[in-house]
Amino acid sequence: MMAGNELYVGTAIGLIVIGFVAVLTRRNLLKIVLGFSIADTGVNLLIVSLGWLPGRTAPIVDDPSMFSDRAALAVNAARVVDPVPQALVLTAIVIGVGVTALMLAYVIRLYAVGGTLDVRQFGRLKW
Amino acid sequence: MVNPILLIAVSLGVAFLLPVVDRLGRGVSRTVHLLTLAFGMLVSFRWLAALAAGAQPARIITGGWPPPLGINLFFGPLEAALAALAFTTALVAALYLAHHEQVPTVKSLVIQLVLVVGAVGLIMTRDLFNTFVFLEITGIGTYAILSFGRERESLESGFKYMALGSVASIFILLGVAFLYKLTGTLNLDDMAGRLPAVAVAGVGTVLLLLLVGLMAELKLFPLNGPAIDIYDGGEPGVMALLVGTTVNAVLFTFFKVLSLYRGDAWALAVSTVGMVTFVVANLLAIRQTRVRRMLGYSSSAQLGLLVFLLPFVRGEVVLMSAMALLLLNHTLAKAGLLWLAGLHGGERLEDWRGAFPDSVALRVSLGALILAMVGMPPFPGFWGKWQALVGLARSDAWPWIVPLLVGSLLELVYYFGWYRHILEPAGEGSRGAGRAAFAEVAGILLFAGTALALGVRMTAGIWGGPASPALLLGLVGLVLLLVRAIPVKAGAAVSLAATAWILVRMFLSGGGCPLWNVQGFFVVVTLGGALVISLAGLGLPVERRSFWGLFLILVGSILGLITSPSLLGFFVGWELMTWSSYLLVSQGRKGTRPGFLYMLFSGAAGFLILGGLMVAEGAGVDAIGGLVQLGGGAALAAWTLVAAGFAVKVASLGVHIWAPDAYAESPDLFTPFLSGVISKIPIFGLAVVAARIAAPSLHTVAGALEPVHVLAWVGGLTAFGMTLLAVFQEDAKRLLAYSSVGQVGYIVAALAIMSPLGWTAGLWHVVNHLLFKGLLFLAVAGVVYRTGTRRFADMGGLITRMPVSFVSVLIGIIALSGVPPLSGFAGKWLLYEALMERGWLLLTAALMFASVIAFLYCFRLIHSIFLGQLKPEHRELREAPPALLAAQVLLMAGIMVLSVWPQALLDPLQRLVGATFGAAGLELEGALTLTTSFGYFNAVAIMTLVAVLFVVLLAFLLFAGPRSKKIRQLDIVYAAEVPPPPEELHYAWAFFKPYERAFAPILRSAATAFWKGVGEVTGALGEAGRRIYTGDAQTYMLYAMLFILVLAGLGLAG
Repeated sequence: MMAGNELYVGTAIGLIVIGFVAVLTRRNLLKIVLGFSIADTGVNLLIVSLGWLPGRTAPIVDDPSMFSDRAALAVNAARVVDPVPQALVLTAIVIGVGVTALMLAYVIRLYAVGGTLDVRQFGRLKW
Repeated sequence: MVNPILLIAVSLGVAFLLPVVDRLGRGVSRTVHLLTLAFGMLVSFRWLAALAAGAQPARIITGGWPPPLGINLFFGPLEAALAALAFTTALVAALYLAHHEQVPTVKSLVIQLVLVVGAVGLIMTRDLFNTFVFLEITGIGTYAILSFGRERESLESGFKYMALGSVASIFILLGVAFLYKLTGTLNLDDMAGRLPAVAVAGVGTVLLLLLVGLMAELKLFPLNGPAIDIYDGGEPGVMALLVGTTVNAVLFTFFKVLSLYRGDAWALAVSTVGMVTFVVANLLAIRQTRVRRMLGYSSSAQLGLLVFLLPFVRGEVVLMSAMALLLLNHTLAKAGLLWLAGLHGGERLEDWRGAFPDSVALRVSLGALILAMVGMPPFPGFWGKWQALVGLARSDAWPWIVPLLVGSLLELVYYFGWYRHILEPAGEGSRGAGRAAFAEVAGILLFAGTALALGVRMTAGIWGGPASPALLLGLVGLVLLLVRAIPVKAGAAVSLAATAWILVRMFLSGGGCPLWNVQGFFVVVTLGGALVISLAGLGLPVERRSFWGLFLILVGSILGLITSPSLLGFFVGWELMTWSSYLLVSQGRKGTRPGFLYMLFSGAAGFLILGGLMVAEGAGVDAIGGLVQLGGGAALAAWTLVAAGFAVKVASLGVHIWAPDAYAESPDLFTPFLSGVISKIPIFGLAVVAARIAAPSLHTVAGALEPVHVLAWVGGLTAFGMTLLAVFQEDAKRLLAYSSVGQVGYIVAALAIMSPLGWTAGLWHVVNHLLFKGLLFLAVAGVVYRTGTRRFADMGGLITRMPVSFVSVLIGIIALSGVPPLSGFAGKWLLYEALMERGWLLLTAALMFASVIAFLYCFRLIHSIFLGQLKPEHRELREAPPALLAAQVLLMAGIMVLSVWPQALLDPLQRLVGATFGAAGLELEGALTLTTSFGYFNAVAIMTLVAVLFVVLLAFLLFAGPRSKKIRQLDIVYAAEVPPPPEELHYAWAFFKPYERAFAPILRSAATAFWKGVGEVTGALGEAGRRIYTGDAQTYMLYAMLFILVLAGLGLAG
């Protein structure tokens, strides 16, 4: 691991563990969805912190003229953190929102047919 | 050529536009939807054709950045084929779903397109993060389309599936991110190149996360619970769509990602998980009572099989084509079966009783798809499994063949357990297609038709082209099966004409008498038997319309089996014979249960033989002629497996329990063929396959114990035991059934002698048994047809009503019992001499004793049916139909020719055996006397002697004996009421009870109890095992986490 990001990595892993524990132990469907959200956040934080380099800034090119100047681009590249994980996380966040929305839609429908939010009541199909 | 990226872009664009287009009307949006899918299908098929013709694969670079920086896509032959399959499935699935959605909405159309986009994206991308994105797209599409179901089951299963999918995607995302961190790239090919250089601790853990995530997406054991639930709860049409798009795409993704996993430990882990899934899912499916859930277990198993093969693909090229065939087969068969399940609507197995009585096309499709699913020929799955096995046999991975065959056998258990219900006669409550629109069944017909057409093409390839008689007969049979307009009697006529034509052509073509070689000999036996049955069929009606179509397919498959020079061609014919005869057995009035048992034992026999053939393939032998090259341990293993398979198929003592019911409950017209011809095909196998392995090497192997001696004893004990059991039967067909199995036991013993004389005796008996057992079964068929019963207690005195049938049975039992003057004598005489020549005296004694017991049941047969008192209700009975009698006369003529002039058959057999052993073993002196080392025998002299004695005795009885008075049954005056049950008073009831008390318990109960126990234990395992799928979403997620820990604990994390 990169020196200096232990705090972020530790927090991220903590969030994932909290999320998984919620997912596995809470009986309320909404809390399970929350658990997934927490775990997702942990994963995203973990990815961002993997690409983090101490003392560097966000990988954003704020001056369009820089694109025509390779030297300036190289200088800029040495000042920013790895942009790929950030791009990944951006995508992952969008996907996460979609999945959470869909999960909540499921919870609404399940409540409508079952009249309960207890996950144990939705295990009719088995064996 | 159209840029393949348009496959994704156009579909995605239309998906976004569809809600707008829908404003113009649902018809418009549906049309646009279908046109989009048709466009995709067309483009992928054109690419496939171009790539097959040698065009370069497309490499697509997106966003102007070349890889490894930019995301690149690849479109080669595999990608094109999978995309074509995905678009085709989506197109026909859309047609089906248009009629089957509870609430048709434009949303469903959009989601269907999203699923296709996700699948095609997964197939084409070479970028790991892009893979994750497309996985999520397919995931969201799947969860969304499952949520459209209105029923609670559908929602529950969808939620569980989504929960596990979310856990899986967290694993995958973590894996992808860490891999990027370790290698600095997301391009798959680039990463595979860089990864071996990464020597950081924890690479294993990262790879493990990705692996388990993908395994959860693939529904491998033990992560397959929710996947099985969605088969159970979801709309079958939706599941069919997923099978053709998402499932294949995820599997292909797994294949691509596996390039990151170097080293034997990973390969072993993947293969093990795959194989465990295959075996366990098949095991747990056998106690399923709900059809769709069963299909879910089956899907999991099939994916397991494919995943198992993946790590081996790189080493063995043949496995690539095996995988392609298996995947295609699974898509066609599973999607087709799911549509059928949706159309039918039956949830439990029993609901499928006599399914689709109103549609021949759907009934045939259902059967074809089930057969395809279990890997029966001619369907693509068979060829895939064969190639997979050959690939394994030729590598170090050969031990995997054992679980693969065990899993396949379990697969037979539940699919044929289901098919059994479908084959029941249609009755009240049988569901049909009703007024299904063509669009609904289009996919079923397309997929079943494709599987069949591919299969016929491949079979033609292995059997020597489309003009081979075997294939022609099969195709004529297929036409008979499909065309409802052909009347049943015409089927018999077609069958008669076709078999007669081939037989005549064989004898007319140059190259001498076809009986001069083993193949020709068995072809004549088969066609002769088929000819007689067809002739009898002109008189004896069959109950099911499909009888003659299946019969011709059966005869064709036997011809193919016999004439094919390769091991593959032999086995294709063998399995075709297995299922076509199974379907015919099941056509009996109570035939489905015995048919099921027949199929299971035949299937097991098939897998034993397959195992033996694979030992040969592993040694590089793929032609039957090459089997002589096998030596040492390979020869012993191959011979043992093959011989054991044939021994099961002839129902040897201990595995005989399938035979009596199968013979007895088959249609009366089919039993003679089952006994006369099909039971001889394992004999052909022993003579051609097993003997070739045994001939050069097995006489010396194994020191004290000679393998062929063991086989001879198996045959001998079967002859002894079955003859004994035959004596106690109260049912004419069951008696003949036991007798048949016993007689084939003699043949097995004769062939096992492996001497010229033994083979002459065995092959003589093949013909003789065909003649007399065919005769007896046909005569009994006539009696059953007229009286409506098979029980001795309900017959008697029929000699006055059915005199010709009486003569048939009389001739038949004389030929059977092996007493002079008829043909049986020559066979027994040769057999005993061959046994004594070999020095197997104890076996000779056992067989002689068995022959004596055979007198008891022979007597029983003629006495109980034809002698004694005529039942009052049989006073007006007529003789059997003329065509049936004509068939019997034909067989009697055959027996007479062999009896008076044995040289007619012995002469060709001399040449045949001489060609095999280099010596003939007996001499034909002049035209009439045949001489062996122990003595000589003149058939004409014996016949004359017996005829003279018979005339003298008859004359004495007629003119000099005491007069008798006729007494009818009703002359007897009962003093009181008849005590129930009345049949116990019948003179033929429990005739040999005293002997039964002495012998039967030992023989009967042990074998039946043993196999019943095997069935129960397997069933209990399946029943107990499936409880791990508790139905609880959190349990399933827990399994995913524990699964990682277990794999890590096994040392994969490092």
